[in-house]
Amino acid sequence: MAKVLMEITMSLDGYVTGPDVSPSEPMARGGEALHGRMFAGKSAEEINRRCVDYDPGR
Amino acid sequence: MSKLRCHISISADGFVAGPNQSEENPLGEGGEQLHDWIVSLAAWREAHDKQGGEVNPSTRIVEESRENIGAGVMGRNMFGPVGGGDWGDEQWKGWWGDDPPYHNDVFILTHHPREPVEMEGGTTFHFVTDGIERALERAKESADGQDVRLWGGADVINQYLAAGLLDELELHIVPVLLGDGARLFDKVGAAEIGLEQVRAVEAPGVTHLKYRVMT
Repeated sequence: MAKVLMEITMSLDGYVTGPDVSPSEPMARGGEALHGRMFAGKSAEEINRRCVDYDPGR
Repeated sequence: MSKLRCHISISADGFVAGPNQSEENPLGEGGEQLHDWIVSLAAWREAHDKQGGEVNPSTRIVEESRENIGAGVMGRNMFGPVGGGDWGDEQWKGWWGDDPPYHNDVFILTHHPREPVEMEGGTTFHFVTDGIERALERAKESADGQDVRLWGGADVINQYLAAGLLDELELHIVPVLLGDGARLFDKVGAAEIGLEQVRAVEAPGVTHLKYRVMT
């Protein structure tokens, strides 16, 4: 039976983006820090690819 | 150097007490579930004069939270009674009976002055009306080189965190959603507070996350 799965990066105070989401800041103010380690030093293409390809079971 | 340490149970949605706290429901609606993991432990039961209980990875966490603690700080809402206000006939001596499980000086933050209340077993409640810095100063004097435990609730933890006075924060995250209540980190803002992960421990019904607060 297929399950519905959810996995997401969240701040300790319970936010999955910062305040004031905008086209130039899609993760909003401070929100990039949520993905700091995962995306550190990566190009925009690499980040997009990682988001789409990300497999939590791997 | 004496540290200010906080160890507290919290719901997965960020509440340390449920909504509508009352005399019958001191932890608010659903709030008792936050402590299911600890009341089943032998380490907790012994300290509260009860028999039996489990030993599991939470045991060490609970023991460690008690080590090297010389005094405590607590908010008026946690001390009670629910509703606050002036002390009336001064009959209220906390939720914990004649021999509270603190066994040292506990400094209660309040707007209403009151003489200290000496309990059995070494606990004395002191009432501090001149702010969080002064309460911490007095607690550190009393602790005499040992650490000070910040007992809660959410409001005073948020105040100490925002003021950069908290050194260590351990969250016991319980897989329950309370939906409303006393929210940790409320109005703390991003401020200039950084958290450094110290460790994560998985145990039955709870995950323990410990942070060092960087200011």
